[in-house]
Amino acid sequence: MSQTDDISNVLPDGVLSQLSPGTSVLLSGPPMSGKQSLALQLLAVGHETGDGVLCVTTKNSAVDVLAELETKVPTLRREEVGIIDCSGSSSRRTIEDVATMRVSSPGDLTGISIGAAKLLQRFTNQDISTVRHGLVSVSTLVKYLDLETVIKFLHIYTVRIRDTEGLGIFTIDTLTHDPRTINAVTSEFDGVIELRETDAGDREIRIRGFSGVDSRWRSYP
Amino acid sequence: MTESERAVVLLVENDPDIAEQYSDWLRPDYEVRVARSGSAAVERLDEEIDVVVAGLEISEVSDGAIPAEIDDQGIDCRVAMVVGADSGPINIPTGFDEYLIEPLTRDELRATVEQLAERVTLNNELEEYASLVTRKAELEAEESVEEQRDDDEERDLEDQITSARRSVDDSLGDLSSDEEFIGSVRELDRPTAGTEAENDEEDTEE
Repeated sequence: MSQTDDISNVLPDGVLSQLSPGTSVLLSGPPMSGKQSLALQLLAVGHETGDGVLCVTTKNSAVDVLAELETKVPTLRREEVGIIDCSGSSSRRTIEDVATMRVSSPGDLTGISIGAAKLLQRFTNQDISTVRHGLVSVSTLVKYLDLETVIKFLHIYTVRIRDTEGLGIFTIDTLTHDPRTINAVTSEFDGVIELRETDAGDREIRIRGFSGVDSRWRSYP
Repeated sequence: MTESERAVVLLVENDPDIAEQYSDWLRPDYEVRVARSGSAAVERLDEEIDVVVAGLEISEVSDGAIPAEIDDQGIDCRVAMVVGADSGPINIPTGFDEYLIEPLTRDELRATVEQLAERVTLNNELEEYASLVTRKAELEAEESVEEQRDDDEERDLEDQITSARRSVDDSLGDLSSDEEFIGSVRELDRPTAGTEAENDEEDTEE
């Protein structure tokens, strides 16, 4: 599929396929750099090989996230997708076949964890053993909670991903936060994929933190 | 509670036989105190207590007086409520950390008490860990502005973070368990002695 090929171009060393189970990656970049799109694409790529997709969305509604996932994987099996919607979207539209949990606020971490546990159970019942976890975006959590609470939560969530041998793809907006926040959040992840835009308006990507992976900036179409 | 001390459990149970049974199960690993009534339990609450196990049939339990008293006194402990299997439809009060259904087995009781005692520790360890992580993040941010590095301080902080992370991960246990995962996240809602402890720490460090 062309989407998969795009990914292998983006990540030439096949980084994600080489990641050991239980790894969590932070995807960072300025607004409009395509973080969410790339994050959903990385979640969707696993779907093609049978991984479940469990995504927490803080800004966009579950309907929007599903629509974007379906543009990445037109053959998406909806019953293998779970979305936790804490965007406060007023849409009461239920999505056919997709398990959706609503959490009233991105600050309700207990609500998010209960939703994540229920959705993971649903995958287990379907004999789906590997799940890709998305959280788009950590920036919203920082807006609602103090930094130390967010660090504690990220630590627990990434240990959860490690202990269930999943794969985590979380995003953060680099321009919204001070360097202290970015440094602290980054330290909770095994590696970082950074996106940026050059003065000429071209997009570039860099992968850091994984041994044996070229960590130089390269162009990202 | 410190690492070397045994956790203190307060059992609130009006049936002497059951109280004795539960005490026997817990005693090898915990310091167990028994209160035979809700009012006795309220009197015996103090900051040494880590875990309270209380039966729902006791009025101070069912009306929420015990969790409220714990809150008022600012005691950092966790409370398990024991619900009788024959108690029929009931309104379960809020403010409890775990619920146990009678009849209890030894393993159930011990597992729950252990989990709750660990969460007291976990909360403090997470606080310490997050504070170290943000301090290092701050230091790195300053260094990139000033273009100066204090390698000793950074290495020292790095060591502290590694050991704090190890303690947190030990207390977290195996997070493939839904119960442990949700219970651990629920700890983050808990306003603890965290800020006070931090101030104390700074005082002694100065």
